[in-house]
Amino acid sequence: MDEQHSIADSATKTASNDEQGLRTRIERALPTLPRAGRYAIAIALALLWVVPLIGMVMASVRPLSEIIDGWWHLRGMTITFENYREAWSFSSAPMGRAMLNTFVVTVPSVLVVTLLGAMAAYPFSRFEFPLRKTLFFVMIMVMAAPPELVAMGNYNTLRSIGLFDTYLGLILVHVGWGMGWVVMFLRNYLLGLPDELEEAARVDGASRYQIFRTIVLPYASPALVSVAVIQFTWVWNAFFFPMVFMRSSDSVLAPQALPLLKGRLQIDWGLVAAGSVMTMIVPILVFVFLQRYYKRGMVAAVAD
Amino acid sequence: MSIQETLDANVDADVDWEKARAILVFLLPGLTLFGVFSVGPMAYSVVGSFFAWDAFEMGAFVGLQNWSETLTDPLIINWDNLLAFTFPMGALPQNLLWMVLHVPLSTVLGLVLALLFADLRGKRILRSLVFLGFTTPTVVIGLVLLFVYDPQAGVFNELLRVVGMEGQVRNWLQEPQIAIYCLVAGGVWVQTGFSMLLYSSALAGIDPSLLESARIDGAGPFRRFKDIIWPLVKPVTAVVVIMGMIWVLRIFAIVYAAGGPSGGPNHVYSVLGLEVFRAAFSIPVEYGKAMVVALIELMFALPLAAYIARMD
Repeated sequence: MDEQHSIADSATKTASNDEQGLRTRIERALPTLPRAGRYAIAIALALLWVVPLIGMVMASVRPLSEIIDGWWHLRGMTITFENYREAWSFSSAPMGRAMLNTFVVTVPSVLVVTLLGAMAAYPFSRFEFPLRKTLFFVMIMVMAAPPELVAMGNYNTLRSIGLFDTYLGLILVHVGWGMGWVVMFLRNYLLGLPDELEEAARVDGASRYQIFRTIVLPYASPALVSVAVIQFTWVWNAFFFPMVFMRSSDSVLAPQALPLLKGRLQIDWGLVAAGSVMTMIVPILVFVFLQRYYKRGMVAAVAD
Repeated sequence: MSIQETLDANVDADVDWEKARAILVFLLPGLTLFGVFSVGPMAYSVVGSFFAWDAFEMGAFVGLQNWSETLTDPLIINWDNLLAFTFPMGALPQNLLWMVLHVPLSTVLGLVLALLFADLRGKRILRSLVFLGFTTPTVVIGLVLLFVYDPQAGVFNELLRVVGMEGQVRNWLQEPQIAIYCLVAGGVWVQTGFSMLLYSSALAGIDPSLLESARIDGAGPFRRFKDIIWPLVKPVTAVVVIMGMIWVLRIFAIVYAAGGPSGGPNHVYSVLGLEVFRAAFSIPVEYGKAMVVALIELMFALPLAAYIARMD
């Protein structure tokens, strides 16, 4: 209230209209007191939320003695990339190899599930066929089911077809497990595709496959990006499936390698932190650059 | 071609074959992988839970023996400790306790943060900061918690020192009766980002002029929330709660990273997923028990799946 009075006062005192305009503009741009308080609380909370992650980043670039003293002490801070170098070629779980393995598994897992998922989603959104309803419910069930439920069966399957402890084996498990939600998600999106487009194409003599390639896929491209981004984060971050299906030290994936960096007696925080930052930076960059698709996908995947 | 033949035998002649074949071509690759690596292994677990197992080999039919053995296993339910409410209570009660605490807390916090950020400038950055934990691998979250609660290097204990509670400084994840709550707090920290994201998108659909006119009409903040905001975010709440429950049911990496395969000292914060892993893939291999525990998880997930199916 006082502020408004002072604006009014100054407005009558100042002769120049320009100056008055400027003053009001500044007054308006500055938040009112309760609003400023909300900004302070909001910023404080958001920063509080990332303190644990900042701790990890700080620990990754400091020697162990300084980490033990507390990463929040900034005085006399030594910045070193020794932790990264050491973690990269750590003897029992080299992060360099583990990162490569994670890429080799994640990229095909994402591409295959996106393509095959889109193909399967198309009939689900368009045509009647036997068992459609049943399949539908099975997919939802798999979406809610715990991954532990398929571990035993897949372990035996991969052993018997010789794909245990191989990239291909883990990729197949990821594709099979992701198929449920991908089909559901893309089917929901494709329901919005107008029938007329397809009918017009059919009149022009296009085959079903041509329609899929030239109409359905381009129409679904934003949803396909969302699926790919979310699936990428899930497969990259996955811990349980690699723990079950990847055993030899050459085939270990990055999330799996991290607990191995702890060491035996005293936890080497520098190594753990460096490995963690390497592993998490990839999904975080994907999130930062493709945020729009990630958020839209997350919201649509669960809210539809 | 055998599928074509069976269809030929069963279906009327006026079927559009070109269309039927196209549907099959679209469906088969994806559904085959889905069947072999998702549905098949699930059915395998259901059947296998009634059989004896010699390591990874299925043996004779034993009826409910795996079930009764698992449900009386103190690692799954420890009745004495459960009635006295002392940890370890077994993975099932611990997992459920985790859910009961985690879901309401992360839901309410997410809504509070979404409301707090809703009309602030720079809200996208604020939201991204809170959401960061959800995109981070859960195994990293577990290690972060291990670090946060470390007696020397941990920022949580430093906070206690700063506020003058030095007597409370300890390795929180090694405290049998407290450790699980510390991990639940970590889970809430992560999942709040997710519920905030969903609530934010629901709040974006609210017409600000509606809130403004309610304010002019003299509706206080509580009335405005109850009459305008809540009806619009209510459907999202169902989704947030279900996703939170599924998240807790599947919890694995956080616990493994923080407490190893045993789930903390004397299994004090072990969860169902961890028990499946230990039963199936450590010596002695108990495939039957692993399947039963995984099926118990499924039983909690099925009503959620039914609810999702009904929403569609």
